[in-house]
Amino acid sequence: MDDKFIHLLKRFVAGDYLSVQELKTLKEWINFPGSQLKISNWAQENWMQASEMETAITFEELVSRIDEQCQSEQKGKNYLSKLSAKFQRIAAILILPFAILLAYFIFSDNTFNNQYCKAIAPKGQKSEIVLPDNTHIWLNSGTQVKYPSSFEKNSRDVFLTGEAYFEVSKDKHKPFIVHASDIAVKVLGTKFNVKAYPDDEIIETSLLSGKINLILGQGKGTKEIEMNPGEKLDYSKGSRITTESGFEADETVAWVNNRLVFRDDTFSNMVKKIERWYNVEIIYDRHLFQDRRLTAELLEGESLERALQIIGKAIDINYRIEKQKVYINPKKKNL
Amino acid sequence: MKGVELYSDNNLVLRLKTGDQLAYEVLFYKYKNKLKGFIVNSTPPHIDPDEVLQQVFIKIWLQREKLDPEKSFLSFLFTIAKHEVIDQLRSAVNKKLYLLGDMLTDLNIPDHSGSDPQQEMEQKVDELIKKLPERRKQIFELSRFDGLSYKEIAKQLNISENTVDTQIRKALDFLRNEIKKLHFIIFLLINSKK
Repeated sequence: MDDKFIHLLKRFVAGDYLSVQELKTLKEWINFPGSQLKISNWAQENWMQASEMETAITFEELVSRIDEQCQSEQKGKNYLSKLSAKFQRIAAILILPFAILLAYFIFSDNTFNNQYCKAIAPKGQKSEIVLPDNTHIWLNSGTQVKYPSSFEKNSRDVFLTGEAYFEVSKDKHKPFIVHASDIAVKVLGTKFNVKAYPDDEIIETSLLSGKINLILGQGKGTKEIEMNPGEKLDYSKGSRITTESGFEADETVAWVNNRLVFRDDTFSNMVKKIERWYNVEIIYDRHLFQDRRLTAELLEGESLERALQIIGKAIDINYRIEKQKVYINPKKKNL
Repeated sequence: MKGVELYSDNNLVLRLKTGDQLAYEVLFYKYKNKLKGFIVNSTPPHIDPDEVLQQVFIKIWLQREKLDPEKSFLSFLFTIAKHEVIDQLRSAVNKKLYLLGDMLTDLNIPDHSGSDPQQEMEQKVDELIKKLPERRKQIFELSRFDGLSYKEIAKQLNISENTVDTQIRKALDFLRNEIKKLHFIIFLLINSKK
C-alpha cells in the first residue's frame, strides 16, 4: 500500500513527467525529517530487489577519482567534491612500447590534523607524480612516497619507501626534505636519486645536479654531509656508516628511462633487481653463484623470459618460470 | 574474478580498516554490480549510475576507519549508498523544478508546458549547463538548483560575492545565446505540429 508520496517518488524515479506542483510537493516531502523512515524503507526494498548490473568502471578509474579528491583538498579551499572536476594534473602515465599501461595509486590519508597523500608504484610498475610545488618524482617498482596535501610549513617534507628519482623545483625559503628510514636528504633545487628499499641493508643517495645535504641521526647527534654532483653516498642501516663513491648517472637512473642495467652486479643484487622490476619471486640456492658477477643491459619492455635468457648467457643457469616464481639452478655440465 | 572468495567479508573489512588497498579492490569488484542495480532502481533515468557508484565507493574509502567489523559490510555499503541516492534525488528534484520554472524566465524561454518541444528544451538546457566550465557550472547549480544565495555560495566556495555574480552572469549569457539559436528550431517544430 503506497502512500501518495511514495507513489510520487516512484513516478519520479521511473522518469515520468511530474508537474511543477507535484515536484514541489515531492521536494518538501523529501526534506521533511518525518519522511526519512518511509524513504529508508523504500530504499531498503529497492536494495533487496536490486539485481546485479554490469558496470564498466574499473578499480583504476575509481582510484584516480580518490586521487582527485586528495589533490583538491590540497588547494586548501572548501570545494564541494563535485564529479569530474578538473584539478591540477597530478601525473603522467608512462607507456612502454609494448603497450603496458602503468598506473599509480594515490590515496588520501585523512588523519586529524595532517592530510597526507600517498603515491604508490606497485611491484612491477613505475609511476611519475607531480607535487603541488611542481616537483617531479619518478617512483620505481614497489615504491611509496607520502607527501602532505599542501606544503605549509617551512619545509617540504616527503617520506620515501623504495626508490625514487627527484627533480625538485627551487624554493629558497622551503627546503625539500626526503625522509627515508633513518636518513633525510635536504634539497634546495636539484636532481637526485634515493634508493631505500625496506629489505636493503644500504640506502643509496646519488646526486646528479644541484646541491643536497644528507642528514643522519636526530636531535643532538645530527650530522649533515654536503654532497656535490657526481657523488654517491651509501648509508648502512646496520653499521650506520656512510661510504662515498662516484657513480654512473646513466646506470643509476636507467630505471627512469625504462632500462634495467647491471654493472658488475653480484648475483643477489641482480636477483633483487629482477624481482622488483618484474614483480616475481626468484628461488635459488643462496650458497651458489656468490662469486658470479653480471654486466648487462635490458631494453625497454624486455620480457622476463628474455631477461633470463640474456642472464643465462653470462652465467650458466637453468631457469623455470611458474606464474610469479622463477626457479634458478646451475646448469649441469655435460660430461 | 578468481580468488575473491578466498577472503570472507569480515576479513576484508578488518584489512580495509587498516588501509589495505587490495582488500578495498576485492570488495569493490565483489559488490559494484549489486550497488549499480540498486542505484538504477532508485534514481531517475537521467542520472549516471556509474558516477553515483564511484561516489559511494570513494566515501567508503574515506570513512573506512568507521567500519565496524562486527557488522556486515553489506549493511555499511547500503547505508552509504542510501544517503548518496537520497542526495541525488533531492538534487534531481531541484534541478527539474528549475528547468520547469525559473529557467523559463531566466533564459527568456516561452512556456509550452507539457508538450514535446518543452521536454526537448529541458534536455537542451540540461546539456548546455553541462557544457559550462566546471567552476561556473558549479556556481550556477548552487544558485539555481540548490537555491543558495550569492552570499551563501561565496562562503561555501571561499570566493567573493562579486565572483559569484560574474560567473552567474556569464552562465546566463551563454545559455540565453544558445537558447536563441535553438529557439528558432523549436519554433519550427511547434508550428509544424499545428
